[in-house]
Amino acid sequence: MQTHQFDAIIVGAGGAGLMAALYASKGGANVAVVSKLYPTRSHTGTAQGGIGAALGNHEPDNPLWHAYDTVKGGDYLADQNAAKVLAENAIDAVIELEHMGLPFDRTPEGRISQRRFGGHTSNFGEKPVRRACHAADRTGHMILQTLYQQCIKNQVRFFDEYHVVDVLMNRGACVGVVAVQLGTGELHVFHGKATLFATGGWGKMFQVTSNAHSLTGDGAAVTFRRGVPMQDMEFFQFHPTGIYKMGILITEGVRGEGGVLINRHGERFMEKYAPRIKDLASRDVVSRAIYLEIRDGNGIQGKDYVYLDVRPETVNRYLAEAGESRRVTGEEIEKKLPDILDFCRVYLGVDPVKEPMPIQPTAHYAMGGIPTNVDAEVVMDENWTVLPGMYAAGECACVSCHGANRLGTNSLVDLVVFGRRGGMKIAEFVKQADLIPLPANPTAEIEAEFKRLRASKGKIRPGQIRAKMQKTMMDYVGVFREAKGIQQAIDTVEELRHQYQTDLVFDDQGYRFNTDLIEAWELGAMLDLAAITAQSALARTESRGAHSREDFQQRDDVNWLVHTLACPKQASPYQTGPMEIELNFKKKVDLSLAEVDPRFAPKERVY
Amino acid sequence: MSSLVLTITETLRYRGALGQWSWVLHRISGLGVVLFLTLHVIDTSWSVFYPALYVKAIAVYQTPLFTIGEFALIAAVVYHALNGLRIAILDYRPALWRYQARAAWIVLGASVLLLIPVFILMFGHVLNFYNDPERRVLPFADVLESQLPFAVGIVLAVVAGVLYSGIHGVIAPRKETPTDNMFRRPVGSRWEKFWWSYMRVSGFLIVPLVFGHLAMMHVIQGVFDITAADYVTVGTNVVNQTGTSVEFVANRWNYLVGGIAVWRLYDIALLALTVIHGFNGLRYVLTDYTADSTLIRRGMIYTCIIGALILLMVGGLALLGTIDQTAIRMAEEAVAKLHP
Amino acid sequence: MDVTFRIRRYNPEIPGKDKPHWQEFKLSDVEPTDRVLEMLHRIKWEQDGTLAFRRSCAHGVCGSDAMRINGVNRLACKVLVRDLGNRIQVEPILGLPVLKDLIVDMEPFFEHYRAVMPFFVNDTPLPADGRERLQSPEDREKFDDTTKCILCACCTTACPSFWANGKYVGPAAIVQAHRFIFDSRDLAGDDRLDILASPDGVWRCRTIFNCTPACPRDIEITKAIGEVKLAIRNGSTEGIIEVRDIKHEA
Repeated sequence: MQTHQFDAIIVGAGGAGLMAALYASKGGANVAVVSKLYPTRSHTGTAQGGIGAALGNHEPDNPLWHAYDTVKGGDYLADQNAAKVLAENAIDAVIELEHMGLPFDRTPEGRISQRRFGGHTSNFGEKPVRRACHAADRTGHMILQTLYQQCIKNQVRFFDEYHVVDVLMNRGACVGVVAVQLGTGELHVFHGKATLFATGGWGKMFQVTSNAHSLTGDGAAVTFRRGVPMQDMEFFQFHPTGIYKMGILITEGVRGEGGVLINRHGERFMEKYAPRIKDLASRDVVSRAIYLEIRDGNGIQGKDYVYLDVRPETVNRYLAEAGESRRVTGEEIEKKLPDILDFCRVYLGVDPVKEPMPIQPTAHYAMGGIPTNVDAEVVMDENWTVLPGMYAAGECACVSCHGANRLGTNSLVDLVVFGRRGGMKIAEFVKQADLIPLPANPTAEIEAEFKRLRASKGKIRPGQIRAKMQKTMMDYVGVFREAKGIQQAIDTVEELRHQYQTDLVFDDQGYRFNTDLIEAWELGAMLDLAAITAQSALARTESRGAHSREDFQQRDDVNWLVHTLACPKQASPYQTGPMEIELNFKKKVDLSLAEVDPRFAPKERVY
Repeated sequence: MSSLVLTITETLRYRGALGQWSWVLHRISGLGVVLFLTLHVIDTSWSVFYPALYVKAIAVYQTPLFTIGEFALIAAVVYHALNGLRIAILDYRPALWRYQARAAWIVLGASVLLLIPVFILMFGHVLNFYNDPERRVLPFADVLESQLPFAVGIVLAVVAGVLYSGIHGVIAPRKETPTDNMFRRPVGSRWEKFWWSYMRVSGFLIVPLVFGHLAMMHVIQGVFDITAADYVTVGTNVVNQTGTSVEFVANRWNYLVGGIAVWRLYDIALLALTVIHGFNGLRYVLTDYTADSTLIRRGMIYTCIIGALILLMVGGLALLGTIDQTAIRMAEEAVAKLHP
Repeated sequence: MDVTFRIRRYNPEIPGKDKPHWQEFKLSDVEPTDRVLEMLHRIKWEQDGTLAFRRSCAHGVCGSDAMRINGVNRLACKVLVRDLGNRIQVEPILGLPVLKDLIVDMEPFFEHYRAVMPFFVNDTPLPADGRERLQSPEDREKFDDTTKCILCACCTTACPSFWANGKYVGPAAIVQAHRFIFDSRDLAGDDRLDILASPDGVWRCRTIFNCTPACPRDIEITKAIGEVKLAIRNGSTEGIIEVRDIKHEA
């Protein structure tokens, strides 16, 4: 075992982690970034369409409109102060990214080019607005690369391929993490004053997902096991347009450029569900619409997919119908959406300029996660009690600026805004905070857990358990949910957790790049989160944003303008037996904007 | 060495496109031409310094082994020249890279097209020679024996290069600058920039010169015609009366146009450009595969410098020297001795 | 369809497997549209859990799973079975030390990357209005191609110059440098050109063109390297890249 000491430890090297590392180190902190992947492999790199910021480079825009769209998109579960911070800070953050060299596309005047995106409107929902700043359809790639480059410039220390498996607490504060060095299997203790989790989401708990194989929710799971509640876990976004069967994301930017969704009858069905902004409605709305079309037998060939059509002739026909003067050509589409076209050509053999793309909703983004305040400090309860030394940002965190449904582009905004704020806060914190010693035997428990895993000589391979979990979660805790199904999911997940604890088998007993063992451990993390997600979903007896209960179809603002906090009840982080959590609904949604501006008050959500 | 073996085996295993094979052919043809260039410059200088040895060298060139080698040489020169043009053009116009594969095919095709008539003409010379009942061919053992000094010379040059490298290492040991793990900051080399340009510019100049040289010495008059008596020496209006190779050289080098020894100038240009081009190319190849050892890598550079300097000196002195009647007489005696 | 996989294995921890060797696996019920990565997962999850390889996003964006597949460097997630036939050979990329099975040590690769100053440098005062620096769409277009690089190492490990000489900075690092050298906003281009003009810099490129077809992002790598060479020769980036006509939205 080796011990490393730093002022600040950043877990995860995606957009939020790198942003935090950069700003913490710029603020004078000695920073280590611990990541299970090489930083440039992080999932931020797959974000496509853009990053929303009310720069107003094409037409008037206002951060307050952005905040409004965020709150409305989140079906009024978003904390309004957080949404305001998100929208206001977005402008500075995007400008700073440009100053770091991020190669945004440009307007003829040389400013950052912006495009339309789902749910982004001007003047409180009036009409779509060009707010998403983009670099072709690889904005996330550019953000990730730019931040990694700047971290190199600032000589940030990277521990690449170190997999964090436990978080260390002492005297009521977070004092660091334990990580496995994947290349050697050795445990390393990272001891610091501040630890920020930026470990991303857990979309791999679903069968069809846009998420990377590595998105297994490790950070959320280890913090939960050490006593941190999980907030709003029932809200998991399904992106409407994933490549059929594969789940690979097709950016909303396709619809931003004029692409439309078409059912088997050739109808642009979104006209029925969102008469005003149609295909650019919020993701939850569009995903549900697709599911309903499929359920009514309107899927292509009666199957479970519909078409996304961005052929110039189709786009131009609807542009003409809408009375717009803009027209697109195949060449422009090639230029603006090169990667999307490439995915379709490689994986489907479909050329989107000539044929429509078969798509279906794909599990995409966890709105819930580790509860934090707007400075990325982890908070433990409804009183916003800060857990000293622990921070979280990005998808694994729940600020909550996304509420019940995240708006397109806002994930990137979230990363840079709250990663930046977290980094700044950490730099401030480590200057005045004392280093709290490590607990005695910091690796004892995780070592015992790995020993137990290694010794497991059962019959079931992790892959079998994972596949069953993914199918169960997809079928019962997916786009539409109802009590019986969710209960079924809870029971199945518990059964799988039992198998995981008692009947697991795997082949690799080595230490060097034992990906077999690590995948098994990741499965354990996902099973815990799946159990929490399902239990949270069962408890919330309303439909809001991405959480659609068929047995409770209405939104219930009287009883449910509250966040769900799932608190662990287990005595030990590795307690076997069923998942025991306590659900707490005392944390009220922040409505501070509504108090001064009635337009922010919860009302029916129409697009 | 291991990196050379690895490169060879993996180049065979990697399914690279045509560009990869063009590169392999370019290297092999280049190495072959440099080897011949070494023999040829030294041999030719003997026409001035040791006429008897020159006579023997030409006799060696007229043996079957060297006839096969000559065909290979011509093919190598033609391919290397055309492919070199392709590389140089792509280097100066990177935007043309889309046509690189097509260009590689064109180079191959053009080489074959060019070589067909050339080989037919050359083969005519060979047939003539072997149809001549009075032909005289040196025994194979003599051929091998005559190449021994070259083999020894090459080994000596390599040993001397490595030796110099060792001395260099002792006198001026490389300073190990303490580098931060994050940043290794290499420094630009004006030399490498110069060499990069030199290889391309000299290539453009060499192509017409060498094609002209090959046309005169291998196609219009083959290596067998050098020793033919009563024959007008190519590029001149002078008859080779003795039918010795030395007189052939003398006729050319002493031929004046407007008071200028044009063929001497031609050959000086050819010598300077090709030797430097060839040995710098050799340095590229040798340093590519010796990156693991500073001693050997630097030694290879010294070897190339030694090789190039020797050829430039020997060849240059010969081109500035005079071939008089005594030399031609000595050549006649040598012929008599060689084929009693 | 049935597919036979032939995989280059190496595990220094297990006696008898601590020398590189080939192992065959048979898979049935393979769809022609399946990705090689999915097949490797099936082998790992159904047959032999010890098989080690890197992967993450599974759709050609993160750059984790560069391998030599049927003799050519590809991303396992971006090549479909139908393009390979029913005998598929997979081995680690060449030129970097193999650590286990298909996993190689990426450190030397990233060391070359870091050596070219792969970060934006401009210390001049920011625009007074607090907004972005301006850049024309034409200037932005000049380096668009090289911004696509995902550092997967397919190109560098396809290069015979790099196989022979691990000190050669390699195509990927040159691509990364190109992205900044030709960015009109960046001011450290001369430093990068100097770094790349070192003896193990761009000059080791022999214009072999193995890198360009190996790139899963379709970057015109040899062209980019050529542009860097010319910039070094000219001592300037002026006039090297001709911007194709850029059409703007009406």
